[in-house]
Amino acid sequence: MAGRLYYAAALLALRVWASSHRYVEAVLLCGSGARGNLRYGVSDLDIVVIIKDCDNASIFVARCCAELKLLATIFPMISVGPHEIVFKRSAFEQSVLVQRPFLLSVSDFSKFLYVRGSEVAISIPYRIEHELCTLNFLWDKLLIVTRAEPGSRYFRYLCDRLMQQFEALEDRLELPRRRFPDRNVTSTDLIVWHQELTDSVYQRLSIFRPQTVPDLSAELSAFEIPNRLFFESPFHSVQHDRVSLRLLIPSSGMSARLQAERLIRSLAERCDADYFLLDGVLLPLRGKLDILHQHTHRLTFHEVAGITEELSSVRSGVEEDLRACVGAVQDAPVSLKKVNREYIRGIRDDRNGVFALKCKDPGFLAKVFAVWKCEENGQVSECDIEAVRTIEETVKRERLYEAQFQLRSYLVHGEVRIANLQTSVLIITRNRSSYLRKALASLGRQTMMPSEIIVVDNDSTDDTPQVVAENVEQLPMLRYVKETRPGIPCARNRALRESSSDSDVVAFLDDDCVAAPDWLYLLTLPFSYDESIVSTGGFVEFSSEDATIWGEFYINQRSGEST
Amino acid sequence: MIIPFQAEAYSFRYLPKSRHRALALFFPGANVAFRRSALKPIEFYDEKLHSGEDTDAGIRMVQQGELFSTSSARVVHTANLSLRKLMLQWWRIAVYTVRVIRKHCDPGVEVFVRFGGGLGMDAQSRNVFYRELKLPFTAILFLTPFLFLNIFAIVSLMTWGNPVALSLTAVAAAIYFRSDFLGTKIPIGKRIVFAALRFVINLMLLYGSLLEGFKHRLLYLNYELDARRA
Repeated sequence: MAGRLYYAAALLALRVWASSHRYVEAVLLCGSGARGNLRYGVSDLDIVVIIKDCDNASIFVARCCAELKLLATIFPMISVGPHEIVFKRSAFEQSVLVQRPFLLSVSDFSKFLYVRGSEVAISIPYRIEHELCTLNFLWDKLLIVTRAEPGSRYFRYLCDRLMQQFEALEDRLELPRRRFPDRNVTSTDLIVWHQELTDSVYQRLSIFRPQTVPDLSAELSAFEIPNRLFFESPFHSVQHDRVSLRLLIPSSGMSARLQAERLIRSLAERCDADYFLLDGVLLPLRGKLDILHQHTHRLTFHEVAGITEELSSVRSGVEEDLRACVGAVQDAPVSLKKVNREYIRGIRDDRNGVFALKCKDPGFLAKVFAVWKCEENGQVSECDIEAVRTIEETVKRERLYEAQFQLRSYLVHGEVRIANLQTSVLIITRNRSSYLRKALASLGRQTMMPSEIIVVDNDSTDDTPQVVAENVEQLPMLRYVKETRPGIPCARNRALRESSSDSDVVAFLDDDCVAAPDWLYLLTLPFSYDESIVSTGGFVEFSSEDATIWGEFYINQRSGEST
Repeated sequence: MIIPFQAEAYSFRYLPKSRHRALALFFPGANVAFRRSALKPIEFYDEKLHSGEDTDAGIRMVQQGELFSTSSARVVHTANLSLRKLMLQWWRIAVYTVRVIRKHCDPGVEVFVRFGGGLGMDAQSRNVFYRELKLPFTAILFLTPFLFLNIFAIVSLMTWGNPVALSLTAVAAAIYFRSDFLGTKIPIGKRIVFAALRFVINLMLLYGSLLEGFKHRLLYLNYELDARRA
């Protein structure tokens, strides 16, 4: 009883905390709804804090984590995870960790649920259908996330949507339809119903299903699990015979991810640092799955069952042959290529490499692609290995953007084509010496230095020449040119004419702009990987620092750019 | 050469966000890079255009190859403007947009409807009619609340205060000013200044480009500024 009160107090504290923040959308109890949780006494519940527009690097998340950690000092049952902020009851009920609390991160969740005030509405019905169709294979527990009262309109709406999904699933599984006297199904009915459905899924597939696993590390120590199985799988699954299917169908990630994460944590003592790569691989999950989703939601139940059979045969035979010849691609789980056939087809059809530029894990994708090519051609050529190596090295240097271009080049041309280009930065100015000083200072901080900088002075009457002269020491490639014909285009043309013919790329910067340190690197990068690109443009932000009221109006009108 | 929505790109001089990438046929001159070999001739900018030269360059560049928007390459621009400079800038936009369009487009008729939101990043805009005709002139029309406000005001002046025309004017004015005064978080004094500025600039844009258009046998009813929610 005391534990429960303590729990309620912690919950209240979380609620108060959440309501004091605009960017915290909701505190959600996963299991049977916020109020239902205490009432039904469902044991394996976690709390998810939903943050708007969440992304792992978001400052809000960092802030939330910090504040929650503070809360955790008062309430020891609150534990803050690395990416999602989780509130666990494990402090007084040890069994929580043993079972499978199902968590959704914000990023997954906000896709199909829209939380406003105290109500929950489904904003994208397609999404929830889709998620549930694929996901309810994975769940042991039904998840209804809501802040709405169990009897409310939205709650009923939510239940109806879920029921439709269950009926669809029953059809798919060829089970007899379960009928209810009326459509007003309560959440407990749904939980029971879902439980039965899940049971029949597992029964149908006749695979191992951990009911209550007392200790995962103990359970898994009976099996030999090679290191590589724990990471770089598209589903972040533990590709373990007995649990593979559960993670096979692409979820929006969190269940699989948590499963993997938990396994890794429990195995952390026995394993090396390799496992912690998972965290690095977790981030790209969604980008990859977008394509997966397009294809896999069409898979029927029987196809899914077929894939598992295929998977087991692949694991025994083909894998070894491939491993022998692949070399650098060796790390990739070979069983991927069967499971991912659709996935790869999606990439291959994407001839322009649009997908590659959005991909958050180019190194992984390059490997997948290489494995696929290996399968097609029967052997892996040197250039594939070279490409994978190049891309992976770029990723390791934390240059994601560049790696994406390399990947695109690899997907489109079959190799990574890099051109070394000389860059000129051209600045035209007129009577703005104080701003020009700042602009030149920002050029001095660039991560990639240009081979020349030309300042074209369009007939200034102030101390522009002196400002340029001051900066010559710091920027030896700086040149000063005076253009007497007035007008921006004349000055720009003069700058273009003055730029040395050795330079391949010319970049313009305004004199009243301050460039970000990676400005030139990011702006000129596309040229070196794609010959068809003739021009790139960046984003122009306005600073309201020294803005006049007219400037504020201008910013108000233009969150784009000004000449 | 004119394609549907091209006029939008002309008037929309500024790089929109990525979901409007289709419209981004050019990059602002403050933050742009070119492959030097694609600049033919090397004096690429049109020296007759004192404003809108980047638009013109972008349109010609499209014909050379791909334009790629790397929105992560950022520069921070100062907004230290005087009223004179602000007005001059919009006036130039009004005039030189016409010249850029005249330079590139073929005779045709294009009609854009812009109600609600005006011209902005999140603009609700539709090109309702586009025709390439064997006409001696080009017509690009943005149907906006401001335009109707002007038309009704002129009509009610010409009819010596016809009550129907007057009431229509009032309705149009209400629609036009509604976006200035609803849903903004700017303090009221500043809001009035902004609304007045917007009105003046819209007048400039409409009549400036209309008059400039007549010189070039182009009927161009310019877009209006929207009151952006700050």
